[in-house]
Amino acid sequence: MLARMLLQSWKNGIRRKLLAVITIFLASGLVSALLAVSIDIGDKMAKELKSYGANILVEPAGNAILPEISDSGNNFTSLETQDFIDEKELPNIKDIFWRNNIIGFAPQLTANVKSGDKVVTVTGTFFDHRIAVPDEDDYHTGQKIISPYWKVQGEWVNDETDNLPEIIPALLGEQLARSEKWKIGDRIPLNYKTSETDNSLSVEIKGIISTGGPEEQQILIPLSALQNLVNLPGKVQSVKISALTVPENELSRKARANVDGLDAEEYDRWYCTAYVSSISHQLEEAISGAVVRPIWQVAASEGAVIGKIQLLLTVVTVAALIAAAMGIASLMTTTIIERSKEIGLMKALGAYQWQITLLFYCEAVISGLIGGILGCIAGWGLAKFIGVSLFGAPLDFAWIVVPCVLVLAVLIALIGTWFPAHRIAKLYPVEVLYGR
Amino acid sequence: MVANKRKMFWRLVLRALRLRLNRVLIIFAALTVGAAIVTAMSAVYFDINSKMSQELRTFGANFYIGAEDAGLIETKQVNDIINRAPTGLISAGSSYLYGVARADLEKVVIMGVQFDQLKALTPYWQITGSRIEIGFDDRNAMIGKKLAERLNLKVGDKITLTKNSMEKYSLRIKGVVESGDVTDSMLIVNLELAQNWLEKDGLASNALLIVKNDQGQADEFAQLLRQQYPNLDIRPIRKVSASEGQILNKIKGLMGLISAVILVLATLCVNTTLIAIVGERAKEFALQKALGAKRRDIITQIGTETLIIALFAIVTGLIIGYILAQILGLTVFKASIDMRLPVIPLTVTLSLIVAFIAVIVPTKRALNVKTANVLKGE
Repeated sequence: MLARMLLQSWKNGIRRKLLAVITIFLASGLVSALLAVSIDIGDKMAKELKSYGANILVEPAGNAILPEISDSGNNFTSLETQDFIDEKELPNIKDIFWRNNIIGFAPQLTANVKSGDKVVTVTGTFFDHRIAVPDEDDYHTGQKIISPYWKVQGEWVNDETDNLPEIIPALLGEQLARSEKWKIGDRIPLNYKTSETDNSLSVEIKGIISTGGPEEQQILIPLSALQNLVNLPGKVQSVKISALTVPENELSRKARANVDGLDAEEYDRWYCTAYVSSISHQLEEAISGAVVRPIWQVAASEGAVIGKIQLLLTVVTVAALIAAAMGIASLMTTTIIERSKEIGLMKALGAYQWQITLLFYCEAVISGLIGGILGCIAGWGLAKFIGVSLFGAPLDFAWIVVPCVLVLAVLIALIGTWFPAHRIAKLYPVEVLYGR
Repeated sequence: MVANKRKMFWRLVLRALRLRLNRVLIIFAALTVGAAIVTAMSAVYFDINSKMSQELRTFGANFYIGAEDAGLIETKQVNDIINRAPTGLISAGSSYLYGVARADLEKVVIMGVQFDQLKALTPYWQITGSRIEIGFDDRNAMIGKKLAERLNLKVGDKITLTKNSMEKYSLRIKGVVESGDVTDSMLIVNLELAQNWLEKDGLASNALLIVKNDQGQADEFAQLLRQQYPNLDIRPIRKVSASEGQILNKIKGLMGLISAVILVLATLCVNTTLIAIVGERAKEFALQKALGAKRRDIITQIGTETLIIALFAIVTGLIIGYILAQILGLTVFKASIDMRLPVIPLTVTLSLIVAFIAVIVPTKRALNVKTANVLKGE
């Protein structure tokens, strides 16, 4: 009997039912899209925040020298007393557990060399260099990838392979260009002389670079060229790594204070989460003779900003959810009030109150399910659209959203039904039939 | 006659509102929710730029002032720049002086800084112990993590600076700083103390500022200062300043898109509810028509009814939306959301459009059905 009444009610009141289904469809589409976006937004924004540059720094373990005082340059320790990292170790960076989270890296070697009478600071690095790493044939990395904020007038240096032309291409810091009056296209001789070596090369300025950092007072050339010049083949001073991380929390702070203090389960959880500290830890294990530290300016701030955006989206999602719930509930109320006559008739024919409310609940569940399923499909499309138009890549749709939204849609439909159904079912048949 | 007609009209409208209170309340609720969502989302959208720009301050300084010839600058000049800048443009700034001093056993690099500005300039420092926040504190110092490890110092220990093997000065370590850059190997002290100790009164190596940059003001400010102080090297720190605009655009786009989706779907939701309610009244319209009412009369009457409900709903919606926006602002940004002017016209227009589309369309449809059919109940 119940099934038949349901069927009849759907067949005859299809227009009315359609409205209910459409409302639930719209609401659940909205909610599922927002849920999907807020789940994936952390990853997507982390990628965007990579524009702030590298967040991990690798340095040789024994490097207990006085730091280079930026912008005064007068106590730059000579290269002979320093420790170095082997360039051979670099592919290991892409061989850790979180290798897919490594966006890119760039090694650095900085030396003071002479150009005529003037001492200039030259940094050797990767610009966009091809490097052989396991499982990726065509991997190339360098400053172009990890420092997107660098502004280059002219062109970048092409250092894809180690076969460099006779005259080495170089980038010139903007401030150095201003003070020395060097321009794009100029050729500058460089000379490095110690008691054992006396090497020279000449570089051609391909572009002027402005970064707002120490690079503004330097000449940047491909790493191998500088290694040859200062007689340190295969050595680098530091490596900057840009990695996708998740915001720090209690666990990672505890791990940072004392890794050995974690119990086995905590350690596993920490090790298998992309905290900046766990990635640093793994890098330290992978690169021999190096200490790996997060660059907190980028690492900590990233976490804070991503946390904010996630919170923002969560709050917006909750607000939208409440609004959607009220929309569905008000529609459910109208569809039931509309049918008061029918209910009166049912009561007059001897239907129990629970039978009437059951009928309404069943209808609500059916509308909720149909609307919810359609809504999830729409939400999936919407999330894709938002991802493509904002980040140029579709958002990952977390499938956990589907059951959540379905349950929510049905629940809201039921709650929306509860109040009017009870009120109407309590009325006397004669009242409703009479049209009061 | 005309007066009579008008009287009848108002009577119909008011009675409809009073006698169908249940339905009126539902329409009211639906429209209110819609208006509240529109208000809240648009308020947040218009304010998101300045709020997120505030959040991005966690990346620290975005503006650099140094000497053109790698020498020293005068703190007086820096203070001049800070004081003369338009109010609100510079939110924090400090001169930095670096130098080498002799501690108990070996040489250390000291960094003199204005402690009261440091929290805004380096919010990302991971500190064990506590931060020094009093500008004139010359009894305490902070120390970089690497240096602390090398000198075997902990929070609460004393470090003694010596000069000419005669002068001695003791500082208590109040915090150990981990920042991941060169600061990790430095001893951080009060600027005046550093100037005295290094015998560089009134001088600094460079200065770092935080300049408001939500519309790219940092670049313009740098241009302006370069003309005024040709002997200084003045530039925005691109790492922070250039990335900021990019991130802000992304966040704004995200919020805009989400707001638009919410607006469209919320209004459609309201629409379906209204359509359901109006559809119900087909019989009433048929009766009115049978009694000789013209189509226009009925539509005007329904329109007026809707307008009255919608106006109340919009006012309530604006208030609720405002509260909603504040709740959102307080939970996420710990600051209230400013109501921008465009929010109100946007809400009013959208709500009215939604209400009228949702009412006029089904009414017209109901009127097109044959009167007799409706009255008979088919």
